[in-house]
Amino acid sequence: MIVESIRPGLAVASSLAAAGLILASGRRPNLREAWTLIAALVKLGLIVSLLPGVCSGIVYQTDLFEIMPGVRLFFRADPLGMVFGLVASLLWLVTSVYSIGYMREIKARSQTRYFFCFALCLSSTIGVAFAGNLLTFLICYEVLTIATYPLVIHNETREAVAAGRKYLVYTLTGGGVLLLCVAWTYRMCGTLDFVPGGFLAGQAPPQSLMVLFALFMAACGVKAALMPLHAWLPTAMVAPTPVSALLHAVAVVKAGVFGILRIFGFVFGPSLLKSLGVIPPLAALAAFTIITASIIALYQNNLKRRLAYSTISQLSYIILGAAILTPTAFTGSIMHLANHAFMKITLFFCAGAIYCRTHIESIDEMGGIGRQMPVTMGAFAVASMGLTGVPFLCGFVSKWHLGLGAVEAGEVALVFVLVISGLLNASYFFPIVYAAFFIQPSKSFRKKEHRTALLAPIVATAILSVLFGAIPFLIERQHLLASLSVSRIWGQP
Amino acid sequence: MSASRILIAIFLIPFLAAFLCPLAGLWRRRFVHPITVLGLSGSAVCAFCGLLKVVRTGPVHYTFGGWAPPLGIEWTLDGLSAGMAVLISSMALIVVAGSRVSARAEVGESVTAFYTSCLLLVSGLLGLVLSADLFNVFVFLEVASLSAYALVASGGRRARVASLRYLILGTMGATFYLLGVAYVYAATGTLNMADAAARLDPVMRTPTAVLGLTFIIVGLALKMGLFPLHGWLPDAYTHASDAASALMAPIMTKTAIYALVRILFWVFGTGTVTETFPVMNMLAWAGAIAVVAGSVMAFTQTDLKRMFAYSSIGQVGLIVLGIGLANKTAMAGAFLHVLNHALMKGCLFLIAASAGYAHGIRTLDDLSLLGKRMPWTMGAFWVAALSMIGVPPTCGFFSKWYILLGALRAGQPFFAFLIVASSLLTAAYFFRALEHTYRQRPERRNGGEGPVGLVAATTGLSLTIVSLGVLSLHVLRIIERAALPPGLQ
Amino acid sequence: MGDVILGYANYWVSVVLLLSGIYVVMAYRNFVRKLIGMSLMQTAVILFFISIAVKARATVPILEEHATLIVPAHYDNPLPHVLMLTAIVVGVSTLGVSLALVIRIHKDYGTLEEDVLIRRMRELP
Repeated sequence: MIVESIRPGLAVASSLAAAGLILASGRRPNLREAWTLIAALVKLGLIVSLLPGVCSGIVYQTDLFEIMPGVRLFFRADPLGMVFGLVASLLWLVTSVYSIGYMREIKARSQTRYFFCFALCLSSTIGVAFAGNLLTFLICYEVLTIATYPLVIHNETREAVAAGRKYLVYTLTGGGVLLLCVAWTYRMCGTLDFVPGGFLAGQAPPQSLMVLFALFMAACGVKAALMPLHAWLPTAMVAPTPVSALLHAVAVVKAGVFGILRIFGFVFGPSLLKSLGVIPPLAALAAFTIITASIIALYQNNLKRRLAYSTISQLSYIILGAAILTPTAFTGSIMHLANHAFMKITLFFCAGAIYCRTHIESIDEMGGIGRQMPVTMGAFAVASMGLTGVPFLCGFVSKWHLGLGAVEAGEVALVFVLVISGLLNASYFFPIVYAAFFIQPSKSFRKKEHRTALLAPIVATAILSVLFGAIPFLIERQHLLASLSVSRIWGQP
Repeated sequence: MSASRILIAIFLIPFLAAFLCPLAGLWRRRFVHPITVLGLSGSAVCAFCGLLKVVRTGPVHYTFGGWAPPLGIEWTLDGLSAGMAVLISSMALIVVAGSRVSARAEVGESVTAFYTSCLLLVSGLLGLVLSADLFNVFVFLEVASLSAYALVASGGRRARVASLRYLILGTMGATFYLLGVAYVYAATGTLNMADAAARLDPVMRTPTAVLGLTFIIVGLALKMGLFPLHGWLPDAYTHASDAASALMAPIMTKTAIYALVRILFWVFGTGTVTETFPVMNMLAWAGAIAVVAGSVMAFTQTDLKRMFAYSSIGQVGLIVLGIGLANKTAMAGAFLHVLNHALMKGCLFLIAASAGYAHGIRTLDDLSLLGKRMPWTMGAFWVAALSMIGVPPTCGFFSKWYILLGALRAGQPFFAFLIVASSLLTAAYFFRALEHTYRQRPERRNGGEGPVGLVAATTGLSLTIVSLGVLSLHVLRIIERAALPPGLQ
Repeated sequence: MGDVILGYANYWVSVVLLLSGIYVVMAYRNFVRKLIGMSLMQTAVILFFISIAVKARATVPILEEHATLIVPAHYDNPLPHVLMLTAIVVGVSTLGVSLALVIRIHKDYGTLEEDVLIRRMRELP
């Protein structure tokens, strides 16, 4: 049931309005930060207010206007979009607090630009989540690309500018390919509206559809850091840590993965994909990415780079889950989209907190740091165990569904991939935790734990990753939302 | 005011103002700028009224001296010419009104001559757009070009060389055009466009008509700076005074494109140029090559205005590509891009004027001064650059989108691919410029934003760029209803 | 063969003029020569235009007072002549502007050779 409501549109607009206000109040930092927080709260409130309705099967829609012949600009809060929207807006609130603490701690410059772009990014991320058709999706996706650029080069060093260049080359090329795909789809079908179960079936000969699918995957694969299109992500880690945290663990890369899920479920549809036979190569690529990225992560000494490779690997879990093409695995994918965000953002927050206090970035020097910063490193331990798949943490739940789906589909090899990768995860995370707590510090750390603005978000996200793995009610709710979108795609009641 | 009076007023107001200017300048030099602005705004208002009227009730005609069309000279205001008239007069108004301070700083004593040339340029272009007579088009082309040579020469010592080279190539273009008109006249015995269209059909297969077509295309291609006939353009736009290049860059090349479209589709006819002689296909290829070449050359530039000039060459190529695809979608996209590109280029050249005036910024390296000193200009630069690249929701995205769709409709996926690739090339050189604005700035010099007029103009244009993007469907509807060539698929 | 050459003599002249004009513009580096080439081209087109006005066994288009029956075939077409008056005016003004520029350039740089000029132009501060 589709209900007209202004709330999805408002959720997108709230941070856009905040962006303007932030720019206007650039000379008064406290007011500026207040706008960020207010907008984050408003956005979260709006999206949460949609939740009961969406859970009971309602799809909220904000219809704006016709932007091209036969294509309207509209936002639609369906279960799949809700998962992403909820995660992004929840984590924006947390990250805002963290950003304020972080940026003031390191006395960063151009903070107005920073918060302006951050708000713009969030607006477009929610736009990506709620986009009702491919064109709206494309617009938001491109705005996200551009709005992230000033954040990547925020430090304005030579290195940052070079990273920004690499980031743009990859993402803009992906955007160009996406543009081509969307135009082609429009030419074929005359419509771009997402339809549960897909709308491309029978619109063109299979060969063209296969090419189109490959192009779509290449386009979204850039942001989803699917190998071999991943190289921008580790480089972009020169950005300030909150940027890496929210954008490169949640918003930007998740927009790519989310795009893949959308295209799977609402453009092509599972049955068409199965008949096209394009899935095995994609699944193989995703599996390859999972293993390879994990192995590369083992050899990274810079903490943020290790996290980046871990992200690349985890993102492909989501793609793999979608590529298994069973309802259970797809549910697992959607849940992992959310759960990975909670855990990864915790890890990035920790990395940022460590850098803020000690200016240490490389893992070698982190021995004993857990004694000085027990809360931070505790959160780090929780999140890394979650990513490895320890039960009662949220990573376990989604991985469980992914594995279950793989077994259902008879793909035992993929289960094997999941297990191997879990082991690899453990082997690149646990040494850090071990060293932090059980090795004597090589040099003495003067300062101790942080101010609350930095610590609270870390604790909050760590608790979130525990809650979504241990509280049956929350797991159930999350599972409900995910399975609702799956049942829409697979056409079950 | 009757419709035909509006038509003639669009041209006459700036033309009369051009004569008033020197007189006023003799008396009090400070009256020159207000007269120019008044003349241009009168023309813009009339053009808007004319556009509204045309969209509502259809084309308006005016005949000179009461002689009926085939004998007398006829002017026509239809959707396309009204749209172009609006574009020319309002862009000129924005540029001239906005650049008062910087123009005064650049041309100094000869401000009277400068604004007289501006007015003559604009009235020449308006006459060209309104005229429905092939020879008239030649005359106005030359009126506009002569004023343009003068305007370019106003930029100083280098500009004079650039202007002379422009003059030689421009005159060659006009000569070729005139030769083409001679052939058409020889084939049909008429110069009136509608009349020629009716008489050309039976003789279209004769060499005379074909030669006419060829020479006209070559002549106008020279005037619009279509690669590889663009040689005059970069130097002229780079060395001209900032105000002059901001005035010329958005509208000069576009008007030549207009003339080409008008003659190809309204005189030779859609059927002829798409089927009998597939010149459209050749044009599409020429445009495609120009897109790539222009963008690649833009990437190698270090001078800001020169980069914009090369970017113009690329964008002209894109428009010609859209026209060459010869279907409704691509054509509408090309027309939309004429409008959008005029806005973007006007904005960019005004930004260059502003940055040059306030901080002496000429090269990409200097752009690091732009960053925090000129936040408004910086914002406008971002918007215009994103629109040039074609990032939604700016207007540049939508025109590219329609040209892209047109390419797919024409069954030419290669061109579609090329359009996307050219966007990426555009991104490459614009982000190269934007990167410079983020470089570390060691020295701290005085000065802030540019003159108020320029800031207002650039900000206004950048807002227009975004809002025209969001509202592009309405513009498209007007184009589809009133401006597309007859008989197009 | 003779017919093709002699019967179209004025057309041939205009073609030769046009081509030599283009050649001069392209081949010479001196701006005054280029301008001469440019004028040659214009003249060629003017000649061409006048040529298409001519009709076999026709006279100047001036109506005699006592003429009652006017046969268009008896008179040359007057329109191209009129048009070419305008074209000549345009050409003259172009030449005027260009010569003014040439004089200024010569004052500024002391040369009119294109390659030297471009080099000096680049060297300007």
